[in-house]
Amino acid sequence: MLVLEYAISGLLFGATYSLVAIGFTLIFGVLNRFNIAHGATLMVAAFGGATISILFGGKDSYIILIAAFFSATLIGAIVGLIVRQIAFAPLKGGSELSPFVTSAAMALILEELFVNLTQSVSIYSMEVTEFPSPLENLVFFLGEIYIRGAYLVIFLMALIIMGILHWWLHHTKSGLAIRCVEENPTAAWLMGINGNRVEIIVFAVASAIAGAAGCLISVAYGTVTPFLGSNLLLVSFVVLVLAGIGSVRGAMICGLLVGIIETVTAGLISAQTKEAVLFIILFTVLLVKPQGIFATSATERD
Amino acid sequence: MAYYTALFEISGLNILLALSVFATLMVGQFSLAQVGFWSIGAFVTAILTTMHGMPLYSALIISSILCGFIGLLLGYPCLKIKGIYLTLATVAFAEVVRVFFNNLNYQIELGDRMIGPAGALGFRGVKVIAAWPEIYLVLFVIVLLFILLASSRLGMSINAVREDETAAAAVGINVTKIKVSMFMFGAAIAGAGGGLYASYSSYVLAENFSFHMALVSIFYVAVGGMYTFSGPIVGAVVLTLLPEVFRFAADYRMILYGVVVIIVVIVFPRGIVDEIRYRIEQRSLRHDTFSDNKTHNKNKKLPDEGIK
Amino acid sequence: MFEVTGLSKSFGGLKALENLDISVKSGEVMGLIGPNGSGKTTTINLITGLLKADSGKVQLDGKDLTNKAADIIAKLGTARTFQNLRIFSRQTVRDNIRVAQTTLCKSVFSKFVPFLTDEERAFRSETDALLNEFELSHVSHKRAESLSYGEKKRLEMARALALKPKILLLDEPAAGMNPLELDWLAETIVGLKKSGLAIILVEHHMKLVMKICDRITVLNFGNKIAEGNPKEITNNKDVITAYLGKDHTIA
Repeated sequence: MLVLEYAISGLLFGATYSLVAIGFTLIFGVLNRFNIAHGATLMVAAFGGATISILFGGKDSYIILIAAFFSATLIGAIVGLIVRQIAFAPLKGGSELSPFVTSAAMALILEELFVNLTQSVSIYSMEVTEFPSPLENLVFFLGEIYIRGAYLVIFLMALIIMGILHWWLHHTKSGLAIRCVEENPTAAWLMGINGNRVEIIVFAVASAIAGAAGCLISVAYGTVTPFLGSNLLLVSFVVLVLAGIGSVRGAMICGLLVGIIETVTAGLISAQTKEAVLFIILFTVLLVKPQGIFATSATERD
Repeated sequence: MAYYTALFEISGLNILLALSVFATLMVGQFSLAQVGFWSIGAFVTAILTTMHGMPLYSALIISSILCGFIGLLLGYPCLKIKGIYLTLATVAFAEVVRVFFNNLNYQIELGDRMIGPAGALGFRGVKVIAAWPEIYLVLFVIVLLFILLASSRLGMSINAVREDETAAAAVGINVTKIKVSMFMFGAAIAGAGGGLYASYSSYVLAENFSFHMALVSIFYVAVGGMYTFSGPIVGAVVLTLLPEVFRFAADYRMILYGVVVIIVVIVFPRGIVDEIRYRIEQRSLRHDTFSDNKTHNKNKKLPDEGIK
Repeated sequence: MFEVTGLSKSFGGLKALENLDISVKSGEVMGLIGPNGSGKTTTINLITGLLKADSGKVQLDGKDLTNKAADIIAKLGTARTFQNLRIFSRQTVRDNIRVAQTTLCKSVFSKFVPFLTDEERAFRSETDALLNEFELSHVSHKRAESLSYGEKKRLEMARALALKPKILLLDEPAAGMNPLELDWLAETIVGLKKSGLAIILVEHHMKLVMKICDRITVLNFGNKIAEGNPKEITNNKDVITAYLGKDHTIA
């Protein structure tokens, strides 16, 4: 029974991993570059949401919570575009290493910025900053299984976001443009698709999703820290390798899978082991089926 | 004075880390695993010197060889993994190492205390038997090896593998052997570096050898130079001194650090050393009577192409 | 004596090459022609180890090369050029040739230590000779990326020859060459043939093929449809149909 409880809670929480991984994979699909600052973007947006909640008394108000959520999403998009402008735009056509380094440096800068902010600004605290929400104490019981209300809400929100994304990618013109650019940028350009604009849209959307995920995760945890981003980034690597980089559908499913594995391992064995287990899985998958379980043709370009 | 000595010593250690990353970059492999080997080297050396009374250099040699061997075990299967996936595999390795040492509890009684790695608390009280003489001696040996590599036929083969594995194989180069060898070499360097670090700072904590540190190790190479071994040396020195230069900014110095890294990478895409070399070469090409100006169209971008 | 027997390769459902037989003697130039997609480059890639064959055998002077690693095939006496030019752009012209030479290095010492042993001295004069022959001496110190297209093509050939191969596979060497360069190419290939090298020439440039090839193999959709000397091939109905469609005659 306990295992089932862990599994369910892992499944629900895993939806947030899916969101983070999806954002990362969208950017990789279009740019063929890793955005190491993706995690930091998420963190900044989460802080944004938390700030709204703290300032406007979000502890008891669903409306404030929703406002916080939308702010986080918006902040995510803005930060993402800033990251793109500073770390990616000046480096077109260079080596693979350079944007990796600049985005990593951006992540460092953002992290340091918030470490400083949490020290100097009073509403934040140095160790953990709370994200007050009315969901904190909501619980459900499915028979004997204990389910946290917060987790259920995040799961549903995440599903909605993924649904909207899927609809947009597959049923709109701009989504089509994005999929074209992912597959063959030159051909897409020749067909009249403005690659630069597509890039901007993707970065904005992916970072907005990250912001949303950041908000959801912080609500689930109840707290935000400046290191939220880098921890999540590492987990999303596992999700991405399992799924195959470039596969949005794969990222969705593998996020849930990783959530389950993580929670069950942490529950049954120990919190420490869960990290080791995840990375050993990552390593094994890379050796056995490096393209991932849901590999698409977009994975090995260049 | 002690302050400057400490800077000198830490620079030396960082140069070793940078060179270990460079070794794998020489074959075009972008590896974040060196932090893991650094960690292994640190713990193994610490255990050998502090708990088993081994002299420094013997411990260092054992650490490097062990790391080289683990590098072989890791590098061989990693051959099948390409590009960005390889980087992720190396990250996974370093993380597994970190978790392993975070849980390592191995202590013996020495005198009146328990000495040894104590799980998440780390290994305190490592024998301090390395200072700048030892660090720079090891560094000297390793730099000699790099000089040898750079000027030999083996070095040319390595460059060929980095540039185009298919063409390299077509001219008879055993690409597999070279890639694995350089991976082992990088691991061994990191093993020695970690050992020196442990014997210098006396406190080994697995948590320090993190993804964060791996990113910094890449910074050294990206900032200093990605194509010649002098690059990582310059990068490590510059980035070690930078936070000190920014001391006046107190809490914001790491932010300035990040900004400088970004600016340098944008202005010097090949790293400082190699970008300067490249520009000088380009200039001399233009003055060459035989040159027909064939070089400058490489970076021309098509309008709004954007994606590359 | 170079022999390919029953070489076949499929990519998923697509039969790229079916049961190909080719043999080339030393001092002979075998042309390999056919419409685009007929399997010419696949053949070269199979022979040189870039692709694994589904079935068939490749033999050079009795030694079995089938499905061996690309570098071993090179060491056993096979050299090639690439359709898309794969020179080492960041290295100098001289070093491009020297890299290939390293494969022939007998003394391990030479590989690690840059001292002038006798072997090094021999290599040096060989490199100079190659640079001379391919008219690259004046740019030997330059990085390969700064060369003109024609110079790059010559470099790739020089590099292949640095391996002292028994058989040389040329993948569309004439692409992008002007008439003067074409004359030079023809002359060079004939010269190489005379020195005892076996050569397989994949080409689209018919005039060149007809002029210098001793024999020609024609592929279409992965099958060999004709083999013979240039005259026979020019008049072969199947070849004409493959290139130009039915009911054509060559004027």
